[in-house]
Amino acid sequence: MSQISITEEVLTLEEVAGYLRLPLETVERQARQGRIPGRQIENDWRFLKAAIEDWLRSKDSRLALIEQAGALADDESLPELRRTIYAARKRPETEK
Amino acid sequence: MLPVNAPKQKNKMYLLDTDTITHLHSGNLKVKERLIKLDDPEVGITIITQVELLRGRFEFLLKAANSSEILRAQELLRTQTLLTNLLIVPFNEASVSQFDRLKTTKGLSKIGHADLLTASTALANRLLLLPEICGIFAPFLV
Repeated sequence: MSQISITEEVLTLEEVAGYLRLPLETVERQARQGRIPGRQIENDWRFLKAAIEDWLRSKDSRLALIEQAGALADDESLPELRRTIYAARKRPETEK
Repeated sequence: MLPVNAPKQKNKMYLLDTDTITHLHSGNLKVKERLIKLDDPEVGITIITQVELLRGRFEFLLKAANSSEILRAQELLRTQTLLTNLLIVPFNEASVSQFDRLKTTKGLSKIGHADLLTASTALANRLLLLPEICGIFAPFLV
């Protein structure tokens, strides 16, 4: 049986900054905010190069939200779900 | 409501709270239009919103009383797929530290756990929380 070897390149914070041609601080801040896909292992960050490339190709997060407008328009249980969530928060919802 | 003319600050992004995302999903045109008008391409939600929505979906399924309710509840689990495509801001050391600070801060004792966690994420990452319940936390911003 043949064995397929899959290697995925793992990058450090410095390498991602170099690859994206961005300041180190920018990449670290964006990674902390979850905007650039990466993992923090104690004090170090590691990134899959393939994930960085996918992220670069992806559309912006606002557009992803806009495309979901009305996605659950047929869901008659949504108002009750919202009421339950804000009952648990012990305050009324703010958005009306 | 989403502030159309909110002042833009460098490296800012917006964070939608749970009520706003549910209104967007239900097809609220005002929310959609204001989202379109925001000048920042980065808009996310917190893990708290993710948990609240999924918990609701799971409970709906577990409480389904008959075959049609079970199938309907299962179908609504597509919320998981919708959330997968959104930017979800995770907790990090700064936000959990912010949470520890806020929960012992005088004047915030009546704020619920989920709101404190959401506000901690917004404050630690300098995000603009929408709707702006975050305003009450402004004096505690470090």
